Amino acid sequence: MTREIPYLGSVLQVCATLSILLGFVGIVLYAAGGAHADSAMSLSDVAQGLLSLNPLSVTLVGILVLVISPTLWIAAALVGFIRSKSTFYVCLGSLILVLIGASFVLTS
Amino acid sequence: MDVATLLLIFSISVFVGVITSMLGIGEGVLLIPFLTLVVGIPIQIAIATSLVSTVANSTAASMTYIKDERLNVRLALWFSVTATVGAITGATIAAGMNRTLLTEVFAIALFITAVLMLVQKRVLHPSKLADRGDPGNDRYHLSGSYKDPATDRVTEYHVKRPVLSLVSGFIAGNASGLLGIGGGIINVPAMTLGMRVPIKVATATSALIIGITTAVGAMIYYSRGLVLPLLTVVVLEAVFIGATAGSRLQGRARNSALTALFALVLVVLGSTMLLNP
Repeated sequence: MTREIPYLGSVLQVCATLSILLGFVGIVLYAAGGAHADSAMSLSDVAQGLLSLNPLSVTLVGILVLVISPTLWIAAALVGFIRSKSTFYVCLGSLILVLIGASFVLTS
Repeated sequence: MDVATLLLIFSISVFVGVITSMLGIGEGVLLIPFLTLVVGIPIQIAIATSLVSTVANSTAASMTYIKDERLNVRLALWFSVTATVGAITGATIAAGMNRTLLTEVFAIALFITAVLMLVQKRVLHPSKLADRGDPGNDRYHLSGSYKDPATDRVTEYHVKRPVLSLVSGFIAGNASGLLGIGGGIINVPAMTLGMRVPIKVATATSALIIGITTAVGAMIYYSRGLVLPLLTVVVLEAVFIGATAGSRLQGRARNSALTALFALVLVVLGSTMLLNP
């Protein structure tokens, strides 16, 4: 069943490894005294903080990479279904991506 | 948050990772009560933290299952349509819900989980789940096969009543978004008992579905400012370490005794949460 999407494992592996590494770097930076508080951040703050290696920004990017990994695997599956001309599953995958996108847009 | 508190959270999370991985269940049922009762973290933040950590574990588990070819991606998509809607609904309700009420609902969910854990093993016995071999009308191309590494045999299976996935997906997604749990405890019985999917395929497919529902829930909690980066990443790394160790310890302890003990712990935690909402 996963043979038609051979790169599915690689997508998940890249996201998981990157997330764990960024999380670890964030903790090290925090321990080195880079930040003194833990609070939620807006995406623009994350981008600014990333340039100055702010530990909270680095850890948040790690978390975001992880959180978008399921969306990426659905996109990867969609490509596989388009190649195998499984129209029903292309529609199903697209619908899920639209729902995820809508939830993100509506709540942000 | 000071270093001592972070170290306490790290230790708790490693412990939670070990235990839940040994039992093959999601960490939310144990992590959230510990974070709220022991560390004093508000329940919405604990749920947000648990959701992100569950995405990590789901991703790690899915990678293993992909290698074994036990995942049914098409079936995962069936579940995910309504699970996504359920997760959005649940997370939206929880993010704006009264803290006391949410704690009480979570405590009740712990009692239900404890009961399901105790009966599930008996109900999901392979002899009761035998596929009658009738392929039926596989118009959605959901049937598949997998190779069991233990017996080295290729087993074919046929999925019955796919529409059931839409109902189960919504309930599990809702529970996930509302309470920060994975929802596998709902999806796996639906797949095995209702849809005649072999348990090894059901658990693997459930791991992939959990990734989607918890990620959607986590995004909503993030947008409400409830995901604290440092707390989340400390828990995430610690649970990952604990789960890796726990998977190696799997089988060394008597699983039935451990399940019974764990169910008892859930009842105690649920009672404590009800008494101190």
